[in-house]
Amino acid sequence: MPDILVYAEVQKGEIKKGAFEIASKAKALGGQVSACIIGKGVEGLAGELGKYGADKIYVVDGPEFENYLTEPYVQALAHVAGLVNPSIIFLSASAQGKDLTPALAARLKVGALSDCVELSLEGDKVIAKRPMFAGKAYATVEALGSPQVISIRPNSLGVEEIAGAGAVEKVDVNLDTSKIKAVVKSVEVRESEEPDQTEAEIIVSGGRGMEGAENFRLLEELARAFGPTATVGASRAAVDAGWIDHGYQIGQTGKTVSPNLYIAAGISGAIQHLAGMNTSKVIVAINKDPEAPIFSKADYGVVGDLFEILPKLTEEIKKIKGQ
Amino acid sequence: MPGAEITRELYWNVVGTGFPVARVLSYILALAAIVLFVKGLFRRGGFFDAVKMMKLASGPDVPRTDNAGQRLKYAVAEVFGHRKILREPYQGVAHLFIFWGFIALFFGTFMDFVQGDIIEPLFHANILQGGFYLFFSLITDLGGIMVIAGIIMFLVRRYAGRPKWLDDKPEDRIILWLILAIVVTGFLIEGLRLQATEMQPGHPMHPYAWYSFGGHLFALPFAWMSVQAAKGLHRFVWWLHLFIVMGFIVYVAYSKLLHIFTVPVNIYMRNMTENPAPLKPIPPETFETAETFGVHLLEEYSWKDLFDSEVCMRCGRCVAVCPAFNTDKPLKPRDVIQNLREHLEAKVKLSLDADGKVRVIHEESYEGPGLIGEVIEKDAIWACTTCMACIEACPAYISQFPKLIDLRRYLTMMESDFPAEVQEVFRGMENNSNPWNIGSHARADWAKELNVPLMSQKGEAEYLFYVGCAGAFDDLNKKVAIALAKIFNAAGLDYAILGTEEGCCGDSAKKIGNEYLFQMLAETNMEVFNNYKVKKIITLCPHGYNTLKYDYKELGGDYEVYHYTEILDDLIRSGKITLKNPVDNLCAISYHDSCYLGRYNGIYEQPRNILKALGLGAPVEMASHHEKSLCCGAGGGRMWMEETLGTRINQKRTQEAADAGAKTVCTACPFCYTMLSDGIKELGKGEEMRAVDIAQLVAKAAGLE
Amino acid sequence: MNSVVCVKQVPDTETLIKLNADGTGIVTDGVKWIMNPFDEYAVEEAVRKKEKTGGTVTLVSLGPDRALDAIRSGLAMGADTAVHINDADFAAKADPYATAQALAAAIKELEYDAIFCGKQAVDDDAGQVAAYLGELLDLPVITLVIKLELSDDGKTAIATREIEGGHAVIEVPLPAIFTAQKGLNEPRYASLPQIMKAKKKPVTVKTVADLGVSAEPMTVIKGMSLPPERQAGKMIEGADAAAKAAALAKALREEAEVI
Repeated sequence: MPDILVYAEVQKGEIKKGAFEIASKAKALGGQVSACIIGKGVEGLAGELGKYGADKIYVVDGPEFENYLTEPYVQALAHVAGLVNPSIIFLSASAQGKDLTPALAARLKVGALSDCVELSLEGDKVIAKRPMFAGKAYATVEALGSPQVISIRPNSLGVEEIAGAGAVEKVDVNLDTSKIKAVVKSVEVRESEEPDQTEAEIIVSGGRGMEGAENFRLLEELARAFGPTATVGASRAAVDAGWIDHGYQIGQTGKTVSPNLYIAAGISGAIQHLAGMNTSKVIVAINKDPEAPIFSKADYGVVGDLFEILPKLTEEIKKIKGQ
Repeated sequence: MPGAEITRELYWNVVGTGFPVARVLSYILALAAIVLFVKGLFRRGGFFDAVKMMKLASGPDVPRTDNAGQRLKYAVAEVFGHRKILREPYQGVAHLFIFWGFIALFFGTFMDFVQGDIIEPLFHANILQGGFYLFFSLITDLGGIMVIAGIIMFLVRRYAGRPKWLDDKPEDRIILWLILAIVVTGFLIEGLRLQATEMQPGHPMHPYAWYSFGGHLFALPFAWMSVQAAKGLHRFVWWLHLFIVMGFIVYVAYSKLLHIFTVPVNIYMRNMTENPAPLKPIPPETFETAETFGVHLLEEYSWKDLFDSEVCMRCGRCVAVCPAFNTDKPLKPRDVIQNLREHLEAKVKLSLDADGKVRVIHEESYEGPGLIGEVIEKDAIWACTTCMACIEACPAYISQFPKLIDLRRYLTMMESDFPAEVQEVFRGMENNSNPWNIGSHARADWAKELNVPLMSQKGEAEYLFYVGCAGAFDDLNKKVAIALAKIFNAAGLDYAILGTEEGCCGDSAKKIGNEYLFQMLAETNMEVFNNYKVKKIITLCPHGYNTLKYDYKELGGDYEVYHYTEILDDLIRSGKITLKNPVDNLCAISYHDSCYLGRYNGIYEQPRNILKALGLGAPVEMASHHEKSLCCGAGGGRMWMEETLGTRINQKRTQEAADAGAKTVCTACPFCYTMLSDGIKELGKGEEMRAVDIAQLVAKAAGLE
Repeated sequence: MNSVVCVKQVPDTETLIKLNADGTGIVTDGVKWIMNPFDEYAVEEAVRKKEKTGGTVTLVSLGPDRALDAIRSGLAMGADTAVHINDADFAAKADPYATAQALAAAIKELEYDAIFCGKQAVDDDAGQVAAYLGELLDLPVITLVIKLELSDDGKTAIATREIEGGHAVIEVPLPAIFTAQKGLNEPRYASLPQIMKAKKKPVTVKTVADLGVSAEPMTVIKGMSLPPERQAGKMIEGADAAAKAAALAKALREEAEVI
């Protein structure tokens, strides 16, 4: 039964869902689960991790941790790892986790497994499955040293409520400031709820079939119903027609995206468009032309009038989301 | 037979019996005119200075003086027959009148000179008498009237209905009025002479006066005039006429009138290679050694490119047919040529040494406008679809658009300066041998489960079916590839495809100016072709057809290349394919000529034959078709570029089809198919119109769907 | 500013990935090899900085013979010289840790103010090498850089890096390591003269032994598999728009599990 340390990332004053996901997974694997939370004024958040399997929660709290910066965070996490002496360390492969994971592994002089999507135990060792070649292949991998530093792709394992002892302990870290050379000058986080197309988990995209700028409202409403991880996109035809800004364009001359869900409404599926979105995990096509090439690429196809279907779909999603 | 009394006195009323003042004076004037004309040609920055610059031009060129006999025959036929000029009937007829009218007048004036200045003074004989004189009279008057008619036609067009593609400079008007003045004063001289002589009853020539019908008409207003008054006025007009004519001669050297001499020369030097629009060859070994590619300095053009600019008389026909101009893009082929000429004449002045020799100005010390950007703006360079309408339309046999490709070559290969979206296209061609950058392993996916023979399995076949990128990767055009494979299978054609061994033909890369990439793609393809000892190739795409046929040949690949419309036409004719199922719902079908089939390769009738064989009768023709067909907008690599300037070419073409009442627009080119399909959607005509490739219709009619 | 850029040769992003017979790696026959796209941003940034402030750009790459093509691509983009750690066996089994050991050993012999890497290589998608380099060379590492400015004295850099939902601006003294994210710049298309010139630029070839590196990888690939084929699309049927919308929502939630 391996002892596992989980790094719980905090964003906008909340512990991220990905932290609960890896904590509960750690608990499921057995052994003692410790969590580490770093930030400024985060102590009050720590207890919540107990609901997701954390037996002990180490809190590193201080003004020097207000904004994420690799070096202080690595020092803090490495310090906690020194206290816990775990055989496995889990991080969520968020933007921050992707930065912190290899830095921690390097500091601990061990190997790291990035962006894993499946975990299993062989003895006390984690064997992980991770995508390579942009998801065109999966590798079964093992980190040889100890601890094993592993980052896990958000949403890949699922969150489970599983109780842990939930003891909170505050840790003081004496930072070696001689190693902290970089300084955060400013941080700007978009006010808008909408994520960038490249980051969004769900993209609702419109093409020529939208017939006008005013109809993009239907897409925005649907995206809003899906929640803060959803946003709106467009095909070149819609952008060329001036219905929507070029920043929204998905395709060969626009952005390349691979969200979990891509809804193409009124997009015929020109090859240039497909090039920008065909790695999406699930593709839905809504088009009145049953011959539209987009249907051959779609997991789900709906033939019909998007002006009728989109509002109905928005209603359905709202129902599911309980809004 | 009328006799010696039927004649007239030359220099009548002007040269008396004493010392021939007028005669001598007119000789002096003529001499002065000729001197001024020649001086004009040799003036600073004039024609012969331009010729000096042409001698410095280093760009390679196709042969221009081989097959002398054929060239001469062709040039004579074209100059005198006006074949190309008459393609525009109104302007053609007007020019024909002026041309032939002037020949008649020249004949008349020449005979006057021979008789009046040689035979009469030296031999005291008269050849201008009797029947020949009457013929001479009739012909010159007819010529004069034709010139007036032609000039009036041109004046009407210029003043009353000038199309927007025809520019209007002072010289254009000066020339028309000048010619009119020459002919009118000529007729006035004749009329006043007639009034003083033949019109008078009892004059021996009185019965024959109407042989000079032009002069006769001009005499009518002077019928009231006394003989004496007429003679006085005659003398004045005679001198006036002489001065205008001499002025005209001088003006030839200073104006577009020089085309009288340069155009026939240019026709003689026309491109006689197979390739209708050859680009400058860049031998593969020079990629390693040459310091620069393409053209960014005037001197890097070929001498013929510069000569072309001196030939252009701004008729504007290239502008009238240019798809870029017609959709409000900043490209007018004529202006490209004219700006080049201005640049040439300005630069030659800067390049002249004191002794009149032209030296190359070093790029660093040159302070005039740059060729790219200033003389020819970049938006114009990138607007061209290489549709070849300009070359086809030019009555002066100027090669317009290849001069833009020379500039693209410099921008692309030397500066990597091209529309941003093209970079991904190059990358796709480099990494996956297709402009969409779809994995090359998917190239033969369309043929799965169709029983399409692969060259690698079959070993050899009579025909290689070269599918090309669109047929292999683009969903819309995969349908065409599938239709063709089914037809070939049904017809028992001995063919095979290359599958994943096939690569991009490179036409778009070449026309965007990336000759290096083009040659890499071509070499790779040719290696595969040669491995299978390929001799005959059927292409789906006219661009592949053209580039395999001409451009690969330049690199040493000698193949018999067919476009599928040629093969289908043949299969239908020979009964190997029977079109048993009527194709319904196809009333009002129109055929869109692909530039690379039609203008480039003269394939106009085969696609139309196929449509006829489908029982559809002759297709409805759009406003522009055959040689004048409007491009779909995708040629010259424009398929891969955003169309941000002006309106969209594909929409204009789609509108032409709609205006012709077409319900089905047939294409035989994947680019055209895509552009017109998009055009129909963009114009919101999806309900009433559709685009379809001919191969799909044939497959349907043959029951092969 | 003198820069070092780490570049990796990877299979083209569109290549069909096939597994070898024993399932431990991919079939490399017929693969089109390219420079890792994120490394192109790194090279471009280094070259732009050089064009602005002078200095040199040195490429460092670990890989077999064929990696020279990627190096030449980088030289054609404007890098001046390159170190090719040509060691096919080492490269074949190297993980990010071992790779960084080799790269760091080569970089230690160079003079530099900045090291640029791509944010990750698109073959193993690990994104770790820069972090190990930072540790081995004791340099700060700024990842996911989308904008980089230098102070007038050239001693510090202001880097804008991507963070979730926005960006952070970081000031860091040089030398430092930066990883390039899409958006940092638009990599140039090498001009023909540059391509030809690149063929003559000096490339120093070294083996891992030359560099005195004997690192063993700390992670291993035990096996590889391919994702299940994308299933044929399913058409959602329904009497009217409402029924279709309901059926679609249900499918997305229950089958596809994306909601």
